[in-house]
Amino acid sequence: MQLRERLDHRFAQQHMSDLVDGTLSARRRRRIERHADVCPECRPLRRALVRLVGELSKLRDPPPAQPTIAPTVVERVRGCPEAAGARPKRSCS
Amino acid sequence: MRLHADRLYAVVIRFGAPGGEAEEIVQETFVRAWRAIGRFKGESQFFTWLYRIAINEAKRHMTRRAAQLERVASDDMALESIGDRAPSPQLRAEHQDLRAALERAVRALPMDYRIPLVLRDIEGLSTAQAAAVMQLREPAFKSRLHRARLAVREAMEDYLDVEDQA
Repeated sequence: MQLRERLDHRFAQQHMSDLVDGTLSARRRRRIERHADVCPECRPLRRALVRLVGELSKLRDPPPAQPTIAPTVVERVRGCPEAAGARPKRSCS
Repeated sequence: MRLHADRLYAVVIRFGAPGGEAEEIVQETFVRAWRAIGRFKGESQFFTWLYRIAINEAKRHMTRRAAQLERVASDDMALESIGDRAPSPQLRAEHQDLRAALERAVRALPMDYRIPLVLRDIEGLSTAQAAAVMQLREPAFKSRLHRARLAVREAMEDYLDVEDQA
């Protein structure tokens, strides 16, 4: 592997997430894209990270309709002396 | 508060806390936020501020648990050893789908790598927001996120790289 290819490879391995996130400059993006198109390591890495990020975004839970933990949180906060104006030194748990 | 509490609860579960403990963490987060509300200067979004408190609280809880102690204390070593890989596609049909395998791979990450992944890739915060929550500079946050993704990719290789094997 030529020096230029080795440098491109290292750069691609370090910045592939930036490529996937779209946070690279056009010049850097082209540099990685060109390399990944022909590199047997970087090409599958790019594909896997694109897919991984897509799959991870699907894990986000929609806000639950019921049950909610808000009532217990409100109760806990109300139980704090601070809520009544006092200033305790320690936890109100 | 209901919206924030439930959203935060889902996030804390993703950080790896079991249900009951997650609820306790969220409660403690709001108590701490209530106490410190006078110090909230509005320089960040309110929910970003809450995330930060929740992360600190979750870490406190995690370190209290003996089973988690070693993992939290040796992040780099644990990250290298996520080699407990997901089952092959053949086993997938018998045991779990891609989502379940992904959840498991994320949970296997050490906290300091799991949190960036949860905030950025699952919760959908921007890099700037997530870095602010973790009080990291963006380059440091990106580096951690990239390493986390690489670790999950390695654990999920049979699922994510399947096209390349065809």
